[in-house]
Amino acid sequence: MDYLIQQLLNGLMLGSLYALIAVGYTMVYGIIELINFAFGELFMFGAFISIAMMVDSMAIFGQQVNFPGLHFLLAVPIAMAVVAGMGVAIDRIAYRPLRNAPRLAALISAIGMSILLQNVAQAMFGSSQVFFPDIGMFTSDNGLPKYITVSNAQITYLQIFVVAVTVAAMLILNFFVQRTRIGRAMRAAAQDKSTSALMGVNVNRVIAITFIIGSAMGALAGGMYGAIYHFAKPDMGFIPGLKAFIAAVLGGIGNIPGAFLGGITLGVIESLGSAYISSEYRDAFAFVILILLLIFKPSGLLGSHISEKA
Amino acid sequence: MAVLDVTGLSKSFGGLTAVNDVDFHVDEQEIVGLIGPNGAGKTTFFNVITGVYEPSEGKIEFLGTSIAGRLPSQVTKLGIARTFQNIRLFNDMTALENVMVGQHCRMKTNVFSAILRTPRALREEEQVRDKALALLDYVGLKGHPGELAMNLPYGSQRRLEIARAMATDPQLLFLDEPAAGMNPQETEDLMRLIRRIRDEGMTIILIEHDMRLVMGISDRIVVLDHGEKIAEGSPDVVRQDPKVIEAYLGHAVEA
Amino acid sequence: MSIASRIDQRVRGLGWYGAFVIAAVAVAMVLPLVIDSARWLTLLTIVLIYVVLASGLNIVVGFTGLLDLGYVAFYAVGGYYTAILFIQVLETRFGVAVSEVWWLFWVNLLVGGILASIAGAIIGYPTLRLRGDYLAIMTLAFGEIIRIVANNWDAVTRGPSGISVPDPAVAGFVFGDARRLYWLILGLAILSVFLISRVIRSRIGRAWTAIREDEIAAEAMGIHTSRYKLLSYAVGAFFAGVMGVFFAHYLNFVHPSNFKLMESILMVSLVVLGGMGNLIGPIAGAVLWISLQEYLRDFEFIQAHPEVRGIAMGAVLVAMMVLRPQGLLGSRRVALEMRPRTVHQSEQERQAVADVRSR
Repeated sequence: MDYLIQQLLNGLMLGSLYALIAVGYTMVYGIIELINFAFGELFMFGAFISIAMMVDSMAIFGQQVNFPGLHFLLAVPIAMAVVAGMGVAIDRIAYRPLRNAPRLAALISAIGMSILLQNVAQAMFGSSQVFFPDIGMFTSDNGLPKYITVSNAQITYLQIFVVAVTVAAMLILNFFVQRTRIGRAMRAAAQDKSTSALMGVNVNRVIAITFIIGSAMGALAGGMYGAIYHFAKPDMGFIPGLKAFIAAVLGGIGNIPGAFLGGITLGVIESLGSAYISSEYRDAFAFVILILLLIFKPSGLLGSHISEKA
Repeated sequence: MAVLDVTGLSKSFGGLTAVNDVDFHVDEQEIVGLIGPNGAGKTTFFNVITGVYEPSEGKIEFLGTSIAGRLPSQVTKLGIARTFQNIRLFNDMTALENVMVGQHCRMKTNVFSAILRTPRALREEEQVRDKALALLDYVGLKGHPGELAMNLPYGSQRRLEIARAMATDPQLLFLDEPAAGMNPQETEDLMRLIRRIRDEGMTIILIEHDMRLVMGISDRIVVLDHGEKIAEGSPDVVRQDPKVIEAYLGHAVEA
Repeated sequence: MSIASRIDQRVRGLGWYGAFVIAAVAVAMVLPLVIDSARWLTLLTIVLIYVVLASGLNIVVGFTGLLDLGYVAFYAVGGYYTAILFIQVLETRFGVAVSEVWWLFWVNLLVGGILASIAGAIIGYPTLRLRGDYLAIMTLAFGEIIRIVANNWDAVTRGPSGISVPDPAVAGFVFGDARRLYWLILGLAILSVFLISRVIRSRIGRAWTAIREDEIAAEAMGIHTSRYKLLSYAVGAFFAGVMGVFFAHYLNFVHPSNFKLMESILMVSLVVLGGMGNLIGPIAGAVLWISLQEYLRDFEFIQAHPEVRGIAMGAVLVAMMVLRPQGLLGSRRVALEMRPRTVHQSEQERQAVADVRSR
């Protein structure tokens, strides 16, 4: 029973990260109907830039570079801002020129971007794991994580922190999309790009904002991933990115609460699956879910905005 | 015998009823015009019959066979062909290839006979090519077989769509706004072409906004408004029908 | 008509294109007599493997217009099938000497292809109702699953230790040295490209292209689009399966790391580089890229920085799509393929696609 609770908590934490990355996939797909494979890589860059901001010096392209050595709580927002800029740049370079091209072209460009970023990261940071410093806040003096005990299950402060940050981010985001002017423009663009353009919505700006939000959320997930697992690696983003896309489909693509629900569900299934079925196949669970989903309920748990239209 | 017999056809999307309880029939070698204001459900009606949508209710019989809910490709194979309101040619294929694709469902070549180039496959390919050339000639596109569809002028693209539809060997031809965007001369030529197709044995249903064309060519006109059939009859009768006038002019009459 | 004049007519009928193809094949055939270096013959053999893989993938990506990001999985199906049958089943289980069942290799080329076809159709099936991009995700997922299974199912695949596979042979004649293997793959490549070109230039290829151009119109013209998409997945996968069988016997080894995601991306890059949707494009892409890659392999800088390959691959994919979507050898057809769609897809049309696919 305690083991189960422990696994559920792990799943919840992992699922939070998937949920954050899934936001980017779901929002971008909702508006320009593109699977931006590069969100996985932006997540990875989020982790690396967080490390850079937290350490005093680090090797980049083989050269030691000095860094400010900031606190985690400052490092991650900086990483989010940088990665958000990268997201906008990616859109400008690789996707915007293809806005009216066949979908295949943009999709190929997206996979190219993903591979490009992954290998650029490898050139910058090397191919092996880079240590992610302990964030301090949730570690007691003896070096062990602080935790609280609930009926024998140990819940670490870090787990609570990750889930709380995710929930807060999701609430803010949902408020933003539902209540603000830009959010309204976003929803309008997702419904019908050309009509909203006629109604005075600057569609390219809306898309840029979508990339900013999606990339920043990915970077936030990257920073928290580093805090949990204590490393970053150039290829760390690809599979989580793919799983986040699956989470977005699971929740109903184009749907922000769906991304949250899908991410959490996927994280929990994966955690329980690798605990009780097989840990070797942990990466396969998400894909099996995807296959079942596409066969039985392609519109996802909460219904995708694509299928609402149909 | 009616070529097409539709009874009580309805189609709704979610809560919105686009076609409501429409009865409709076409006899052999008839030209029927389907008119109505924008959003009257004409194209939806077309789409339900040609298999793009499944009807919510009602019966559709084509030459005595029920076709409701069949795939568009199956409907085409049974003998109903169509053109599209927004031209939908295979842009990066040549005019000739477009028409050859139209004959797809009348061909028998499979992967193996294609690989082996059996005499039958070769003969079939040649016949299809000849027929495609003849059809291009027929619609007035002789001399452009190698042109990419997207490079053809607008009027020619509409004609190519007709040739492609005819290549499927239909008994019933649906034309969705064939004259849209055409100049008066082109429209004139188109009317002649449609008549000629009919005279050679085809049955035709067309949606058209160009009243001169539709009134001039149709044997019978059916008027839809808000998804319902509000009038039916010869062009002269329909033209004078107060309900039709009201549908077109709307509240302007009342006001 | 005399035989001479008939031959003359035939030759004239071939035109420049045909003459070029014949010349290229002739050169390829005599090449090993001139080149006496195993290293170069190996390079050419690898080039030819990728020529077939890229040409097969081009059926799905270039002609049917659907992105397959897990093509390597079908390659793995072929490779593991033959390795498991030869070694795990026949040799280990039943004690059959590999040299006694040499003929199985030839049978396996076909069976491996067919198994891959079946896998392709099964993977593609759930995506038929959905937008094309879901195929990309499904194939990507399948590619990863295959590798995970190969890595972990020790009893069958021997996991990360891999399986050793014998050389191809006919009776006592073993295709062991680089030259013989080169001729063998050359034969397979010519046959594959020939088969692909025959299918493409038939009613079936036209149907695929029509689906790429406009799925709704293709369906309305009597093409059962779901069936033809499945056929495209299956035929495309077939060639990967065949190459998988060859590759296993060529390398004498199958190992999960032969079937990484990057391989799939590489194959897409080859198609994109040369030009999607024409027969020569992927061949040119494979010849160009793989020669360069294999040639550069020995350079110190490349060995120290393997990521250069990935950077180049990613940059090629993005740059080609943005700047020259028709590929280096863009044909008239593909030159225009990426032109913006003039037809605005209305709500109704989206609905139409959804409606047709849901049946």
